[in-house]
Amino acid sequence: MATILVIDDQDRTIDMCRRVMPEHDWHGPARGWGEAEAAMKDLGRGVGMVLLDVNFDLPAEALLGLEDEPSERSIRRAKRRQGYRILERLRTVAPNVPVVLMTAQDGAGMEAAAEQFGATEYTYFLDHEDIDAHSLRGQVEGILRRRIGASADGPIFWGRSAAMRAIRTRLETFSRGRLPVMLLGPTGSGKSLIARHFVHKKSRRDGKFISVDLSTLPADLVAAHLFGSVRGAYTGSIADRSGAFEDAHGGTLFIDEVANLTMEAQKMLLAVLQERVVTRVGDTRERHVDVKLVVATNEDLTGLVAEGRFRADLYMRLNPASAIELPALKDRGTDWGRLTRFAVDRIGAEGYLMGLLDEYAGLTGQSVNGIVAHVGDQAPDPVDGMVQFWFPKPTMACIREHPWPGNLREFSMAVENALTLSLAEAIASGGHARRTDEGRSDVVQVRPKLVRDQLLAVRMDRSAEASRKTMGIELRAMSGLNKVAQDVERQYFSTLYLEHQGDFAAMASVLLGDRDAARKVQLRFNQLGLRVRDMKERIVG
Amino acid sequence: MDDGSGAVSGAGIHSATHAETEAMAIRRSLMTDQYELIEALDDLVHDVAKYMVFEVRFLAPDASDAALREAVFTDVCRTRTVRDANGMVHSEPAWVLWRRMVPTELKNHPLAQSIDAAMNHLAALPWDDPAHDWRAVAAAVKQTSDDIRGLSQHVRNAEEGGSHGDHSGH
Repeated sequence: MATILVIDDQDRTIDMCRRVMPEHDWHGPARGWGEAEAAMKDLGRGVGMVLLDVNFDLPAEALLGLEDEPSERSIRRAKRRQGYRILERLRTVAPNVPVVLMTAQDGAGMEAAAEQFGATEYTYFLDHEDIDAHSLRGQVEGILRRRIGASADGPIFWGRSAAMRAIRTRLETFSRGRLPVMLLGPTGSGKSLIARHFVHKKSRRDGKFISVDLSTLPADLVAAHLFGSVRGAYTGSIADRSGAFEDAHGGTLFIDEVANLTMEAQKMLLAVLQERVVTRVGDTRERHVDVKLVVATNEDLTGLVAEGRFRADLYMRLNPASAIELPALKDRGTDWGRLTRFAVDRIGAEGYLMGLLDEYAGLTGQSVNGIVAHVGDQAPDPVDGMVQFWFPKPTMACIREHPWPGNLREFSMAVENALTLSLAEAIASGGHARRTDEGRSDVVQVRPKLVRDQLLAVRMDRSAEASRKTMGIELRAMSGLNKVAQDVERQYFSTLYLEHQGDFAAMASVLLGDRDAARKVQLRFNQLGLRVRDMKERIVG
Repeated sequence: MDDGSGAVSGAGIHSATHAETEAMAIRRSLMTDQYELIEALDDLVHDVAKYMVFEVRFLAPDASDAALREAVFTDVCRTRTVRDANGMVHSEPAWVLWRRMVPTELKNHPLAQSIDAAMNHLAALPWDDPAHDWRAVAAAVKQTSDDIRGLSQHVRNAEEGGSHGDHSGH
């Protein structure tokens, strides 16, 4: 049970939530910031989540963000964006409480606003015909589980090897200084995660973490994106806008694939590093910026300098002495058992398996609060309220022997696939445990053949240079098909998202043959429990 | 239950006042650009289209006829429900909200006229009659909600396509 505060100007949302999810302790609705602030004081640290509406029909005197003598129009606009203002205030008293924005607004604008004001999630829930009581509950439970499952290191797996311990110590030291940090390493090795969840955190800076992946930006927009631009600076520039440096002022700016910087942008970046001021494209005014810069690349920057494609003076300013090379997964001396347990914990915390777990719990008549991995020769001892995924020795041998060219990202996805398929198998058998599970329904074995087939499919795909075109898994007809289909769909959407670098229009073209159906695709993306922020980390990591 | 007249009865519940209706008319007259029009349509989607199918969408698949009727009633006759600082519940039916919020620029648009007709039909329904075909009503309400979204999208597309100034739909 969680304590959930609803901030809304209407009764209907909270009435419905109470009816659909009676197990939680619902408070509100708080109608505007005044009531919300009072409720947060009353409830103290007990608030597990906030559901926040965006559009508030309140009297002008109750609205945040209005000037002294507001026009009718500015009052209307303040009402339509009141949720963002409330969120801004909320963050000053409750910086870590998960906040879900409830809206029917367009995805892109919503994403920007959520990023700007620090919403945990934003969702179309309550406003789409495909969202029913079950999926609504799934969203809420998923967020709550993520919170419970969040570890001190977040999504980063360091392991216990001496090399990784040394990297961590060195990185912590450089994180606290004012000089840039350079992260090197192969794709999927966790550069983005480390920048966001380690360097930014250890830097103890109050500002935001802003991430820019230069491989996804058209070359002619890189400078405007990083440094900002004024109206008319380039075709389509219809208003003045700040760049990533200004947005990250007081915080951390992560530039991934820094080798993709255009020569013009390299010159501008050098000026920023030297003078600590940024000048928007097309402008002459200088703006002071205080940013912890983290850059990452998979390319040999010294080689690019030698070829004249990367400025030597900029390279030196990026503090190459701090360069930290993250090794490939295979070279880390990884404790595969620990890594597997870590990955399963993260998947459990993310709540992606919840639909299948609910179905399995219903079939076997048990109460399931979460999942845990067991690695070993013998079936595990029972753990109250948990389904245990058992990785026996032959399964772990498959994992150890795989080359993992996609590193941690590939590993996480493989484990998620393995859990999904194993649970689907267990459901297909009517919830009856296999003989190897010693007749226990709280244990689901992850069979070696299942893992081997999956990894083999990935290898075959790669050899055919088609790894991004297929899922690398195959499902046969089985019971509980809806849940299986949803999990496979989620994997498919993830793959497409990565393939198209987050371009929903391109995904809509593939899925529906209609680029204009981007919003529909994004709605489904959200319903499947996928989060743009997480996926972006995968893209840039 | 309500008599369908637009003035939803019940303890502490009353419909929009004349002053509120006038205030809305004044606000509409202040809409000086297309951006305002689109935002007004966003409000319609948020306040009317969304909430007129709200309860029905969250009904269990095997909900009884009585539960469905109750849900449709709440969605259509108590579409917007707020409680003031004194604990008084204010509720408005969908057709009243529609008439109050639809931008005057769109009143001749064919889709708006179709929605108008559907709203008039909803206002005239025998809300106290359990024998009425409420499943058919639920389907009609869903269609009306979709039409409001369609109207919003139509205008948005027209704006993006550069068709400024003409919202007649022709």
